[in-house]
Amino acid sequence: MRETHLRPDGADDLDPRVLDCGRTIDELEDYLDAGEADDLHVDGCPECQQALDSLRRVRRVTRELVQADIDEAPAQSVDTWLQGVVGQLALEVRAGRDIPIRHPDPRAKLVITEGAVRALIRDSGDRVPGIVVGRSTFSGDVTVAGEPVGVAVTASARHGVNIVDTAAQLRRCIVDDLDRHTELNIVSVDVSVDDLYGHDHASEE
Amino acid sequence: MREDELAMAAPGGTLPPDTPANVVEPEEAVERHTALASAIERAVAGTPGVVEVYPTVANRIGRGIADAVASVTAGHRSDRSSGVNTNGTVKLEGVSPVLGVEVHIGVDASASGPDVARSAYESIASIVGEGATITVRVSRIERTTPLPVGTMGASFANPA
Repeated sequence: MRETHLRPDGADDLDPRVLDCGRTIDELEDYLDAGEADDLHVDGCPECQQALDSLRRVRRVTRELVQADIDEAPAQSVDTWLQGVVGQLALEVRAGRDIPIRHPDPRAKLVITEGAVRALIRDSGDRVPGIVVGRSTFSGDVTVAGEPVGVAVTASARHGVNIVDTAAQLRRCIVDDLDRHTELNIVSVDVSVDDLYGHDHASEE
Repeated sequence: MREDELAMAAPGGTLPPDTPANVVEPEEAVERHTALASAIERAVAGTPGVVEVYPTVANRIGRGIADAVASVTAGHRSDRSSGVNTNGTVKLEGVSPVLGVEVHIGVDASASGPDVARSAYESIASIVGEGATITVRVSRIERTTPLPVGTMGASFANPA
């Protein structure tokens, strides 16, 4: 039986390491470790693909931290940061709600999934040096066209970057991407940098 | 041999002689749906900005419909509409005329998502009959071109 979790937005959800399609984050990590051999399910599953994008992103950051030989980032602190980023991944890539796209024909139902929009926001972070997007949440009813919607994004910044500038740059990228790919009536985009990586928290204690 | 067994064994079909004219034989429905679904898939896949027509989501959603068809082909007949999930990428619901079409697509990040979805819809609408409902679900935005130099990767290894 799967463990259930209550999300802050009030929605019950399943095990944060199991995707809606049934694949687990552990299985996808094994898939990456094995060199991404042909897998019919993974190849054709948007949730798996979005989760793999995120795992590759995290691995890339980790690899770069190691290559940069950053003294402030001992293995233990990197592991802790990694667990935080990966921990909620399955929740983030779920298809979620349908976000409408307008069309004059009443027989048309055009939508983009909430999961695709979350992935888009994470992807925005790839265009900004020194930051990794964590979780994104929407306030307002995204399922109703034209409703005011706020976006709140958490992110990890690399130790040493100018956090204000980096967060502002990320915010601009998110606004641009949401404008290009959705018809959401975005009234706010808030970026909260709630973690640093490449930095040993333990040394502060 | 009983009368119903005789009917089942009759050449050219499995339906008894008193079958109403509006009943669609399962094999015929499957053939027709397969051809239509394939045409829709090709049309959607060829729409500018569409980089993927996803099969697994449609499979999951369409499982109930596929089960219904399996039930029909197993000999349970009905004069109501049934449906098929024909090729795994396009979900069709209902018999002639098709009542519902659903596709899940991936969109190129450099395109406009809503515009691509609308184009995909137009591609489908030009194939299926009037009256069918058409659902286009954008399940993923895919970045098909590499990120410019100076973004995440390079910056980590060479912090300012």
